[in-house]
Amino acid sequence: MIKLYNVSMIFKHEKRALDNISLQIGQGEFVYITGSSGAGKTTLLRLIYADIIPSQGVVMIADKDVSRIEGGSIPYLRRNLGVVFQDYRLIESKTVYENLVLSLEIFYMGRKKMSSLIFPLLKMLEIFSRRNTVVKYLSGGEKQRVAIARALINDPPIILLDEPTSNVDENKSDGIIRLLQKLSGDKTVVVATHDQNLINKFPSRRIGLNNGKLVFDSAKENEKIILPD
Amino acid sequence: MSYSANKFFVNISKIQTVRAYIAMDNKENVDNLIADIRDMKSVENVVFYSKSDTYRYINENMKSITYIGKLPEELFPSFIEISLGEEYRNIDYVRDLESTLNDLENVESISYGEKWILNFLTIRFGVELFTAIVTILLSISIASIIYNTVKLNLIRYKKEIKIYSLVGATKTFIAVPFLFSTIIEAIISFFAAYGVVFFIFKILDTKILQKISIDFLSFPPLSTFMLLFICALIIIIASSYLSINTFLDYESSFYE
Repeated sequence: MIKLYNVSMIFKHEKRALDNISLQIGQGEFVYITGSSGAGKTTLLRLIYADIIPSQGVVMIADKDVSRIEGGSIPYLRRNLGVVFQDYRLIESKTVYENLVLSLEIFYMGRKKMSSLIFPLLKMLEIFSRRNTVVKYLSGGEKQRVAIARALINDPPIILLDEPTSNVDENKSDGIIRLLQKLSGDKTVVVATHDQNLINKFPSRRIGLNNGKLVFDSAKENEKIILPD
Repeated sequence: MSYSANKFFVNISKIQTVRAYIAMDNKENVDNLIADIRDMKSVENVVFYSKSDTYRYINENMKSITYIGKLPEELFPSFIEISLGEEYRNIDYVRDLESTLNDLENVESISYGEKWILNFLTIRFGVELFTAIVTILLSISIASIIYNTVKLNLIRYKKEIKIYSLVGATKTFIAVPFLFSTIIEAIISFFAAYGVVFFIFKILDTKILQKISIDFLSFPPLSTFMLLFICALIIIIASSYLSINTFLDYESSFYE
């Protein structure tokens, strides 16, 4: 589903954010990308949703080469990805409902159909009662659930989450991961996190990054275990 | 204003009449000449003024010059005044007519105030050139204002645009609402500005200029207005499209 071959990412005037990374994530896998702050987790996710293209190497999503993708094809790639950003990327001045509508508007979907997709999801995420609340008045946990709802609304085959538990307490983080594991089914879920407790509680495949280098992959037999700081 | 100025100089440089001064003003010669002139397609009307008509006219209209009355009638010219049709009142055609008339027997010389007409034409050319330069500069300024206003508007919605882009909105999906809103706003501004100018000119014309018998201001016909509107529309669409396109290309750039 997701394949990276010798991928390096060098930002202007900066060190290598990613250094010669190669990995594969299959369909239906639930994978943690771990590492300390600045390890390259967010950069790796950004490469997957084509916010940046790699300086070297190849990124393949569902057998499509994202590293050579044309600008006009990026929106269609992103429609197959649900992304929960660390800062949520919600429109603060719009309501919960309107924030979810914008993900469906791009398909020129009718209002009735939109509501039929949005309402059950809001109920499942227990924020239905907040549907008409403007996002800036929501708590961090509520915003996170709105961001998750937006990532899931199109039923994408790949879900990417960047530090989904960083702004919520332990109970809520557990709830989020439980929910994601329940919802994932045959979806590929990639969670970038530095929360070791969470990983221990809900064990799954782990890919470790440190200073832009891949330091371990729990899926590989002879993994080289160098836990990040 | 430029339309009015141009129309003023177009009218003033039109040659309405041409005078053919004649050598011998006996009736037969004059009648033959008038008949020849009447046959020309550009001629609307022909009037013969004899030496005595000229003498009488000058005496009646220039009474302050006392010595004119003492001059003999024979010294005054006799001429044929040729009124030209509306479409033949330009200098090029009149020059052709002049050479045709000069070829006729009994025509001594031709006069149509060439020096004045050439001066007016020079001024008209200057006005047209000035208008063209001002129009080009204004068009560039308007395009630049629209380009930057649209860009400022896009910057205001930069965060929302990025979010739309991240959830899979195409460039067209993002651009179309901005393009339409810009076009509608600019069209409303165009009509508002035109309306304001129209009323100012109308008041100026009726309250001041007409009272002092100056017929300078004129309003363009609907066809000219529509042409102006289409040109404005092209500038609006091109500049806003360029602004939106460059902004979205830059914002969705892969490199940081």
